Amino acid sequence: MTAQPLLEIKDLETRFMTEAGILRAVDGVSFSLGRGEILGLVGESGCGKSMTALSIMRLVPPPGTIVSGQILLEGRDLLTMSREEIRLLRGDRVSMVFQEPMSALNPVFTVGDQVAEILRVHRGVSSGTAMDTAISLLKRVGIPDPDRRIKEYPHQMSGGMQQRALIAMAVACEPDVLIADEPTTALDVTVQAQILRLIEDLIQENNSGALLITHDLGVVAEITDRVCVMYAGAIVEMSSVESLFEDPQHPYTIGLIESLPKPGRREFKAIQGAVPDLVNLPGGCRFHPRCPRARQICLEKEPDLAGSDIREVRCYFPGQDHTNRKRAV
Amino acid sequence: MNATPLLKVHNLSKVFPVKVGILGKIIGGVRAVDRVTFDVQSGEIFGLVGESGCGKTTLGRMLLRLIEPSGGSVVFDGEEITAMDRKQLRPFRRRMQIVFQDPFGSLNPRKTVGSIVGEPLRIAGKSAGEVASEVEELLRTVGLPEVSSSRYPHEFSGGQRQRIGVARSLILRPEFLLADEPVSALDVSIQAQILNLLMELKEHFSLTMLFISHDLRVIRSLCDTVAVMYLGRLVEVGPVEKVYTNPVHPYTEVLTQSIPEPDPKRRKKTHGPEGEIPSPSSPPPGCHFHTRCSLRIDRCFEQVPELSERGEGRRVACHVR
Repeated sequence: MTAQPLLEIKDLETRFMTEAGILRAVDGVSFSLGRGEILGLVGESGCGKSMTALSIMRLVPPPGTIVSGQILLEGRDLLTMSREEIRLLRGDRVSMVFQEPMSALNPVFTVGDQVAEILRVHRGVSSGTAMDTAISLLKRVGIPDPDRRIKEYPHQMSGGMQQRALIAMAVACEPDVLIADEPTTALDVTVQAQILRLIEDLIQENNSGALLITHDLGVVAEITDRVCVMYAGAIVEMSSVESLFEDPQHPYTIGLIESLPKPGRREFKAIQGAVPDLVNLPGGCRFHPRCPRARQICLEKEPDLAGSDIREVRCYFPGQDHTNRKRAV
Repeated sequence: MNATPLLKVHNLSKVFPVKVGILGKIIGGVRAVDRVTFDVQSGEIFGLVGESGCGKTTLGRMLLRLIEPSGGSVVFDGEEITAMDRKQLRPFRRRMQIVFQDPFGSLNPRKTVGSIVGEPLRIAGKSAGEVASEVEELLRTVGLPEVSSSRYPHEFSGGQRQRIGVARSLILRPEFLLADEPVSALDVSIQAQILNLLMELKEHFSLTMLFISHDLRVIRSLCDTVAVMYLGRLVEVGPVEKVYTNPVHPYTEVLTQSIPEPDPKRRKKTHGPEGEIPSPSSPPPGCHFHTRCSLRIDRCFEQVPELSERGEGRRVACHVR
């Protein structure tokens, strides 16, 4: 990548000071996002994908804190900005769509009010103009009958419609970066397809970038361009979506893909064990207790995320056929 | 697989009353399950699939009479359990068990695992010694460490908790197991562990299973027969591979096409079906699916299509196809 990326995350560390000790929710994460790109952040619960997103928005809930790293939006570090600067940035240049539309929308204001508010705050337009723009936004995200719908309250809408309204709010100011945290997980599968297509179209139209956070490899394959696979707070593999599914390198990625149900095969390949406690991470490679190919070195020293610009993996013995290949340490 | 169905469900319905005011005056009803008819053959895994609010959980609970049906019948092993009183029903409770979705909410946090799993046996009148040894054996069978029985649910991970839930449902050696979204709350890598366990236990205990899920991929690889539900009604029933590869009902077709494939080379160009799922409290007249169906004809607006035989074990409720 020659030009400056739209968003660049460098060595991000977000920790929670808990009674049990320091919880490393995000443990040294780096990646970048370009214009027109949809980057998937995939992993299981507790892998740090949502905390990475909240860190970018500077919305980490207490007792969590961002302890180090850089979050560069076209070269400007979000972590050194004042609260006021960040507040102006949120919803304008960087915005977020959450998993549960019902809890992300305010139940006591109409959908129109909530979309229009964004425009009034960030664009300083009059209420009337904001309402007109809100109507066209609702129309753009596929809400039928938007003139009537803007007067409705969130509870009067179905889950799919609420999610569309939330997306309308998120894209109202044509943000450079759209962060979508499990945007379709609460929705039914027939509605999911519609929402994914909508996000894809909006990113193309605005030439912005999206960070899509999901646990669903089907969603990843359907919509992303590149993927970061996260495990226990760290990225273990980064790749284009095609190579990730064609030739996964990290044993965790391989395990995830193999654990998906296959038609006509009543055998499910599981990854043994469970996700480690983030307060007491295992020494060495964080995946080694569950890894079928773990050897002595994996117990002793954590591998780096290494490889080319387009493909990186955090493993000493990567690849599908790993038996006679050991990466240079 | 022999030819006698273990479970026969006929015209089963549930209407939940809609009440208003402090006196709870009944002003109408929500037809959550609408005249559902199907058979579950002995030894098979019967999948029930549908989107949220379609009535699949209500239907499942009625089979065990955890929710009382408003109409219709459930015949288990030749006996109509819908007509029984509580006392007559007791032996059937032992033979039909359930695994719940939420491995966190369905286990009492104040009880040890041994007491949770062993409770049905104690109620059945077994001695403490017998209970302890049976519990220990079963915990081993479901893949939990030996020391588990004196521990509390919070000490276990989600996957292990679901193993505890499975052990509790199997301790009375039921013939029929209802699994209601048993892996939906679990991570993918853990899901596979529990699905494998259910498959092993099905063989080990010769179980017949009704598996409820919204996950079309899980249903496809697990089940023999699948029934597709939409707004309280079955729209298509048949052998699982036939239904997935050659769906007849337009809803089954859009549903199977909407599954995101874990293969970037097979991206869908479709935007999914038009429209949203109507509210279950006021479903459209005629065929419930007509509001989103591209094949609808005038008849679909008025007349409810009945499930009709389409050969090869397939039944479909559609006027057009």
